[in-house]
Amino acid sequence: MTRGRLFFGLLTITLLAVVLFTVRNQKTATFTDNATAVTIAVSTTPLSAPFYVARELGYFNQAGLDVKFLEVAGGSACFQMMMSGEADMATSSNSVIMFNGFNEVPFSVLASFVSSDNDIKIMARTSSGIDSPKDLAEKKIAVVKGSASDYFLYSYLAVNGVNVDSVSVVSMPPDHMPLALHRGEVDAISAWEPYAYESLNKKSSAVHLLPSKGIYSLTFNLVARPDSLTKDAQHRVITALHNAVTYIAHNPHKAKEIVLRHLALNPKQLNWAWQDYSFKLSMNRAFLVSLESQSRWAISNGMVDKDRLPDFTSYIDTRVLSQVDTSVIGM
Amino acid sequence: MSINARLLVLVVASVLLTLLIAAATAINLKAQDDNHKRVEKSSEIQLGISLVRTYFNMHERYKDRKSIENAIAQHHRLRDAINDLNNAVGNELVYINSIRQNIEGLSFLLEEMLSVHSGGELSEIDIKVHQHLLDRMNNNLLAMADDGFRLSHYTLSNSWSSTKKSSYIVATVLFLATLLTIYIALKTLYVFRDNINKLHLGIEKTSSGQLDADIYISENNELSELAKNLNRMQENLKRTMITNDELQQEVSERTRELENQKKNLKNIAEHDNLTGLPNRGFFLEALKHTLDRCERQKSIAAVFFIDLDKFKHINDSLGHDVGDIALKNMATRFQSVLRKSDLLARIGGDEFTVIAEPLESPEDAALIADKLLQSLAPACTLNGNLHYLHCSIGISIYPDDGIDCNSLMKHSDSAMYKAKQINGNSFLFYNRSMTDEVIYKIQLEAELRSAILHRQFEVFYQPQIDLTTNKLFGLEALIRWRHPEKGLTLPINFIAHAEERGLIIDIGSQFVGQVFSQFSQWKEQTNDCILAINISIQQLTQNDFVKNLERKLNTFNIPGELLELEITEGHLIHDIETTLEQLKALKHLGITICLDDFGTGYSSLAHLKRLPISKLKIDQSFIAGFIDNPENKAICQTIIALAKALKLSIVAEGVETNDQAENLKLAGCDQAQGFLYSRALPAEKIHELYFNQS
Repeated sequence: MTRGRLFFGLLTITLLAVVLFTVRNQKTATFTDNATAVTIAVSTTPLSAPFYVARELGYFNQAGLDVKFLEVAGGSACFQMMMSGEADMATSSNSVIMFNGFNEVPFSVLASFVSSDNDIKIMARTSSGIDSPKDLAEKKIAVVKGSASDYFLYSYLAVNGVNVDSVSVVSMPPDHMPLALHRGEVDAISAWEPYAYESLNKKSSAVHLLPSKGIYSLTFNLVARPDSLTKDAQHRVITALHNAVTYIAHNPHKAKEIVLRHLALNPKQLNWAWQDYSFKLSMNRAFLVSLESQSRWAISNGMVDKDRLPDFTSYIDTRVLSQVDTSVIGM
Repeated sequence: MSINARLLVLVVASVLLTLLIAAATAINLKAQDDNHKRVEKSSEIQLGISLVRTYFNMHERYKDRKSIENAIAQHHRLRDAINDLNNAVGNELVYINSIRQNIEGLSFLLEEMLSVHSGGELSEIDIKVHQHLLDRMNNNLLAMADDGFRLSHYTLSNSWSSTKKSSYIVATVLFLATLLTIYIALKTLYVFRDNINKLHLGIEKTSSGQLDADIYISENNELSELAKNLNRMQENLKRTMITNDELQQEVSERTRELENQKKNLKNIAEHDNLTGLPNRGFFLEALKHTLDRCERQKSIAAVFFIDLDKFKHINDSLGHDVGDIALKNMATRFQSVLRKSDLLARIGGDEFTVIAEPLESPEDAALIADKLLQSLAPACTLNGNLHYLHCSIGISIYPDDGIDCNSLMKHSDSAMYKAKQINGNSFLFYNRSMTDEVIYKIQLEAELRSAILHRQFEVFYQPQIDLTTNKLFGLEALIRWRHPEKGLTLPINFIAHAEERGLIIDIGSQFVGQVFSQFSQWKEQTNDCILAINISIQQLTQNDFVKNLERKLNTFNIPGELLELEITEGHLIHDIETTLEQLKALKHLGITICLDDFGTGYSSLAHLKRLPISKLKIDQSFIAGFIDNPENKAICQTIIALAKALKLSIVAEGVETNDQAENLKLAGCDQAQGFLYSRALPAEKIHELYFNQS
């Protein structure tokens, strides 16, 4: 009897061991090398949530990476840090990529990790009598000149059949916009988050939002200098981000908590912006089309001193992404 | 655990396994169904996106309001479909969320486009707006198409991996459950097999009669109960077996008793009630067996017929009771003097019979008869008075007096009758001469014993003359018995009987002592006179003969070289092997061995060569006719020639005439003795003739 029990026990233990070993192996087998050091310039915005989540949940470590964040305000600054060699990678918006595409500096866009078709918003003073897009004619509107804010206003007016020349465009830094709108220095602003939210929530100010969801898609992208990292390191970074976006899709509240721990935001503010975010790793024709549309605008408005569209496909490198995510079709 | 419980567990395990298999199949089916639904939904979404794109493309081409309306309707269905998707797995949610975002964006753009196309003809501004909206919508739809494709991809791959995973889990659980069931089944089987095996072995042992097979089953179940019962059954059987043993013992005791009774009955049938001695029937039967044996062994036996003298007188005067006492008394006395091998029987009235066997000679029978007579000599107390009982004994000898029971009984009876007629209290052989001879021999033996005791033997010496010198060569010592009644008796009348009865040893020993004592006195006067003594073969074969002789020679200081031992040729040849060593020992002492009566014993030349003899004595029968009978002369001459050839000296006895002496001398004979020279003379005479120097 004892011998039988012992045999059975041993058999069960062996089977469990085999099952556990197999399951664990499947998870960790890919990265067993020594940790690779990677420095990433990360923009301090909720859009960088996949990076914070990946770091917090140890996805970078699991992928065999020793990741260091250089946290900077704005994708443009991140891009500069990357180009200066301070960082191996950077998080940058499509606008930044568009302008740098004209500069013909060597960089690669590896993947988009978030998009929002409602991040830049038109906020209007109620007292200015702006109820619909048509009311924007003859009004004073603040933009960040040469940025997505500028392009968004252009698109918004065009889609709504308002002549761009009929509005008076004022350029100012984004952080000044809420106050300027509040003080009545301008009638409306084309501002991105969190400034749109700030303007809406300034005390004793009657500001309202003009609906514009779908007019412009802002994307945040992972860019890298082509020579800075091996394909293997890129592969590891993208694998970690892939896990992070899946986690965010399933656990939005926990993801927001992680972001709140890293950025000085109030939860309402984060929720306001978050509802329009779509976290996913992608690289598709829509991205390319959007870059090209923005480029054409930049050329026609003299934002760049070039008169031809750059070949953005040469900046886009989907090889690593399509290895990590087989559903990526690429260009 | 009981067998019932084991079987119940096995059945329950089997049922559970079956239920588990059914449940697993159902769960798997459900999972597959869910997966299938998800795949279906994602395909539906992809299809919806494609339809919106189709309407978009139509509007792009025709710039019509209808396409936009259709696109809006389709867009609503798409929104409903995507909101229906609530069991997304893994990455699917990423794309579902993305599609949702894009649907919202598209919704705004479609409404805008519809408002552009609300009025009839498009103004210039409207056309511009229319174009801008087309660009935005195109971009939006591109992104959605990409998401739709990726959603389908992940739905498919996730559903496949979830199917795989659930299949693995189900397979593992089923495997473990099957393993557990198999284990329980094997365990049950093992218990069954082991227990039944033990039972089988135990029962097999028991059935072969071994009742010590203790069946032990460690488990506590129905079979162990069965084993216990079997053990109990064995114990009971064992107890029953013991009873059988006792029964057997009882039976054998009874059988023994019966056999004893049978034996007793046989005893009663074969024995005489009064004396307890065998009766006539038994006696005759025993006699028959004895005669058969004697015939086989060529031996002799004697039948005695004993009758009490004047028994009728005792019976008549003292009564039958006293007569019976007398008979019992007799029987006891007879029995006490008979040997164990003899058989005493009472064949009726005052008649007793005896089978005396084995016997060396009829004399033995006579001795036994004498003992029987002697046994009655002491007085017997009958009825308070002393009485002297006597009997008469008749003896018949097998095979001389008959070879069958009847004749032997008849002859012994008639011999007894004659003995009674003579005077009673005596025995008679059926053959009268045998009676005389036996009586003579018995008497002779008694006399010889007396002679030994009273030293009645005397030594006579006959001189032996050297034929060359005609002087005394030696003296042959010859025995004579000074019988108190018959006077001087020659050895021929008693030596043979003395040898037969074993008395020759004592006689010879006494004789040698006498001779040596006498000869030692004469030795001083004559140094070279030989002393010849006759030795019986019985003496020679005595173990200590040589030792005793040597001691006596030393005692009387007689050198062995002076002693000559004469041994009869015939006797020596019969027992050559046993005597050879003795003869050699004698020769070693310097003693001369002379073969006596040579020519009568058929000794072969080979024997002559082997025996350590130095001298031959020609028998007097040859010497007697030496002169007249040429054959005797030739024999003598041949013997002498033979002796010469073998380097033996030779002596002739019974020489009576000078002629004989001369001729023997001529023939080469060394010495002679006989009446020509001197008779055998008493010691005093010899002393006077030869050793009286003074």
